[in-house]
Amino acid sequence: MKPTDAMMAAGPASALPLPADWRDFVALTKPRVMTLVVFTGLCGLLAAPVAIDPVIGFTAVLCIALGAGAAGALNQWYEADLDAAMRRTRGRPLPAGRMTREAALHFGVGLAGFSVWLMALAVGMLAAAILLASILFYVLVYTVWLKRRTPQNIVIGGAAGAFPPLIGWVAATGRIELLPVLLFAIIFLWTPPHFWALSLFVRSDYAAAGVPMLPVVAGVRHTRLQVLLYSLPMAAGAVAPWSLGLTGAIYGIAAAVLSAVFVLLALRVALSRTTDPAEMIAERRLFAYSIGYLFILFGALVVDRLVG
Amino acid sequence: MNPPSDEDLLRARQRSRSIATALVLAALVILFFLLTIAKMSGR
Repeated sequence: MKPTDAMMAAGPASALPLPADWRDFVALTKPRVMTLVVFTGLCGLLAAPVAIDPVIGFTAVLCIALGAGAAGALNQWYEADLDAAMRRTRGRPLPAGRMTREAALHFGVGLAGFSVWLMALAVGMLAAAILLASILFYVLVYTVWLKRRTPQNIVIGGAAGAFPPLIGWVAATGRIELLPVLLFAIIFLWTPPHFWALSLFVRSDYAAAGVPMLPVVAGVRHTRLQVLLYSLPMAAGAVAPWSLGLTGAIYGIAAAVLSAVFVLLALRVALSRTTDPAEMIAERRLFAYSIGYLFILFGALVVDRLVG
Repeated sequence: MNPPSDEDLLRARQRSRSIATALVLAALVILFFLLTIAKMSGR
């Protein structure tokens, strides 16, 4: 057997290759990111005006989770060098030397193929096709093409994370309609202010790794302004399902209040002048709020559809 | 007590991976069974 990274990870005295632990395969799927993906996918499924068999519904959400996990694994396979250069990510299985790149690639491709195959077999071809498109978009368009080349990586790449509610809806109904497209648009517009808030206080990490994130390329001040500018269409998009009569007042009021707070926090970011990451309270607050924002917004949508 | 040898570590890692794989396969068997029932009753 040829020597591998995992053998080296086991230490110079080790005579046997130590295979990666199963927990490292779980870590490769980015379980924290997957939480939001699964939740928005489930909300898309529950918001659809069609009753779906619980087993098929569960399978659809499982496929969304596995597809997201596969995309995360392939992202980590491709970005092992970047992850090793960043404090936030150097403990991941590949840069930490607990897993070989080959194992990560096989796991990612296998999981992606399985998730799409299962979705096609159990749920439907259209849902499977969108799932495949979302995986390919995240891996090829965002990870391989955009991330290392342009500060617009997050803007365009944000589409990858916006697919789950659309997939959930299509899994239930079998067709694409206006509401799930708006849900796609909300996450698409939410991604830039969410990620730029994070990248403001970890910009030295991105700079060290050579990733052209907006704060590294255009500066902190310009990024703060962009955070505010993107939060405005995001807020409009969040309220749009209500103003177009596609949802009831529960969702509408929740969207209006949550989005107003989001814009307010984005305004505080735009007005902030500190350059010390340790003192970037407004940025950290917006980043934390943006996660809760999406959870509550989509939760309100489901409540609205179930109650209304 | 002696620290675990490399071989002990390898065996423990292989065992935990085997158990994880078995659990995943068992879950898939149950899922495919339930999917078959759901698809048949759907017809």
